[in-house]
Amino acid sequence: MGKIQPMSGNFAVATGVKLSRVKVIAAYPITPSSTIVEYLSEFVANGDLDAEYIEAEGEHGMMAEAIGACVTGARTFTATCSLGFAYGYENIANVPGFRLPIVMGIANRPIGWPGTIHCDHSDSMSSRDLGWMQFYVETAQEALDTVIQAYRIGEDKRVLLPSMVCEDGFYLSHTTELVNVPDPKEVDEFLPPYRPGVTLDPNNPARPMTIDPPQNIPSLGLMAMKYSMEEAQQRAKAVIGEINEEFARKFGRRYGNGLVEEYMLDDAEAALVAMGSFSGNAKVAVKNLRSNGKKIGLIRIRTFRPFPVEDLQRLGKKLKALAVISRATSLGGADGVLGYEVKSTFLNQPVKPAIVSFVAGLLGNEIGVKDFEYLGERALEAAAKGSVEKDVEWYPEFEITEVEAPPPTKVASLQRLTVPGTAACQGCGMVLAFRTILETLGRNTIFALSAGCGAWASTDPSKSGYAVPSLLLALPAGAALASGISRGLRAQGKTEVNVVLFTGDGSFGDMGFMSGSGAAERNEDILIFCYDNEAYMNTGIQRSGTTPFRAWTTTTPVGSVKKGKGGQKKDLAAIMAAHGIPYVATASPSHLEDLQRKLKKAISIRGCKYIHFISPCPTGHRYATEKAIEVTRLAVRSGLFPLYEIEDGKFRLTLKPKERIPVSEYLKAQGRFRHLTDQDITEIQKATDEAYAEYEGMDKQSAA
Amino acid sequence: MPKPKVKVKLYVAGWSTDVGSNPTGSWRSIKPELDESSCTQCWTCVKFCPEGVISKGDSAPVIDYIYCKGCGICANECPTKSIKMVREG
Repeated sequence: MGKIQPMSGNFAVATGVKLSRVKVIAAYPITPSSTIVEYLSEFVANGDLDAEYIEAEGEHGMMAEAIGACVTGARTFTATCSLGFAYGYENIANVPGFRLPIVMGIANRPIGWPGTIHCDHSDSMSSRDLGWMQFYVETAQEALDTVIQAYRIGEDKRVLLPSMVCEDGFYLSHTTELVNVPDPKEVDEFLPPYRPGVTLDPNNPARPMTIDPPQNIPSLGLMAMKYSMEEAQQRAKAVIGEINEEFARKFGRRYGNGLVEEYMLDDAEAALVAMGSFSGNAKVAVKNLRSNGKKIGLIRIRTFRPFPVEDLQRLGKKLKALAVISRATSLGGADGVLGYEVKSTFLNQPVKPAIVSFVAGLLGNEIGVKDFEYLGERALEAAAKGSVEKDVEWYPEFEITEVEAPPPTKVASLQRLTVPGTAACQGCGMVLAFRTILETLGRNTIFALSAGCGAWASTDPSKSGYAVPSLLLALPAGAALASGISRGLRAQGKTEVNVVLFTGDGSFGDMGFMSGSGAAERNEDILIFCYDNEAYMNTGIQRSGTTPFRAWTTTTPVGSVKKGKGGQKKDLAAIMAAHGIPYVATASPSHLEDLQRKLKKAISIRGCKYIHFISPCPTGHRYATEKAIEVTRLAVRSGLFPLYEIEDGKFRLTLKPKERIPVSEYLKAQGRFRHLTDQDITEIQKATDEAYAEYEGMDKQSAA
Repeated sequence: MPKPKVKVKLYVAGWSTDVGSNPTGSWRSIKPELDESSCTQCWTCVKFCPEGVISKGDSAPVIDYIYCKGCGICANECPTKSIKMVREG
């Protein structure tokens, strides 16, 4: 017997992963899928799930880690959405061909600009042709159950394909409902341990399998491999049905026939066709229309891949019309994505329903019960007429007047370089940094931004803090964007503009480091300013490569087995200096004159400059907002974060505390280090002393 | 029910920033109050206010309460303790 528990969609996915006894989790945060991997990190830290937990440096790496783990024979899970999905795409595309039954949780969020964190299906649907199975769930209960089913289906020898379990971002990922959590023993009976086929195994010399692009196979062989994936997709339909029935027998829950759910279709003349969480609204609308004597029903498509062609053809024979609602579209194409799919299933059918197709609910727009009632009426109207007028319609209808330029910035706003009213938290060190940068460098500045606190606290037009031009790109692209801006200006002779990359530590130091290193190696004429708040603060305090040893974050929780981050903080300033760029410096908000001097010096130098700024974050570091500057001062005075500059390879400490305070004063001031033992503190003190002695040595050497 | 219609005017690729239109003073639960008599005009508060809501006045700092988020850094950093954080009335 299961246990009833209230939980969000994301917690349900994480619980499904735990019950599936997954052995490896590859994790990287992105809203709104982040909490899936946060919950999993807690399960692992508390010993509730015995799994390797890999905190990836980006989704591209995350997917490769998932592939590497699964190909050794370990049951593997990962999760992402939206732009993270796009960044992982190269490796996502490889998984089906490797025939690895990885399960990936997706909290659906749009892909590309205009960007939002709210739901549509454009991320996962952009990969519809790759060979992944795709399940779109309606409830948190279904999310939990589908994760377990997806392993069973994907690992079936007739299938051997990966699965995406897609839940609508926020609608489902972050809303709480009552979920029946199956008994772990019963899940074990339903889902036996993963028994892979051939794996990478040095102890099996008879099968020294190399998974590599098969260059020597003739191209028809390659095409045959592709065809075998298509056959597996087709076979999966029966397997999904079987597993759905077996699951129902064991746990008492059934999701239609596994592929589609039929709702009030018995005597229906027309039907809505929908996917995902808003099917719930559609069901209420169908009931309402039914109570007025309208003969309408709903076809909820649960598996987008494999697409339930036969089921739709069977159901379509009895229906006069369908209204298909696509939550993703194909710009410049003939229809919305789901519209295409549904229409193509009827192309060669002798009797087919009239299909009225809508693109709706894009970029997080709600489709409520009233909307579905309208869409249902349209289906009934098409049923009565037997025809439709337009191939596809957007819902609602838009009438757009394009203007030639955006409205000008208010004159009052132009009088200052920085304006209060940003979206940054109280006590944020990052806003103090960008205020100081602009007040020092002046108006002749363009900001390149990469996603993070510094970008979101400024790019929302009503919450912007700076009256200079800026452009935001994704996490890994910051230094590349700045390089492009600098070169574009140079190509037009505008070499006097300050191009500043304003970036967070997670963005720059982790997945953005490739473009950062590239810009440094090319010695691009840019200033890279990294505000280091020591975690992914904007997306919910997840650990980054620059999170310090033992610090608590939402993905390095303090549990009975694991306590905070295991590894050390990445020394980004030293790594940048190793590129031999003309100027590298560290800075702190507690020593603003020092920062101002460094900014002035940096901007006077041609080439790539790097300033590493320690940024207090009361929200993520867990102390009172008024302590932000005070605590950061302790970091400097303890020698944990020394202030220095490296100019043309010459190292100089720009502040030498007469007497360094113990690191414990800094650590004990913060909630994120509350769990530290005396031994931890001694270890950190020792490491700090050793590092500081090295800094002093370099300082003396340069002075000599 | 007719199909809903949305009329919009837009510039296709982006927008200019309407800076300063977010009166973040509403976030505040405690507010800084200045005692001018002990203020030495060292402008430490002006320097450290993350949001930049404190400016140099003729005789003392001027706090813009429309935007002040009430973080309390000014009071904490003030060397003469001339700023006190008091509960919003």
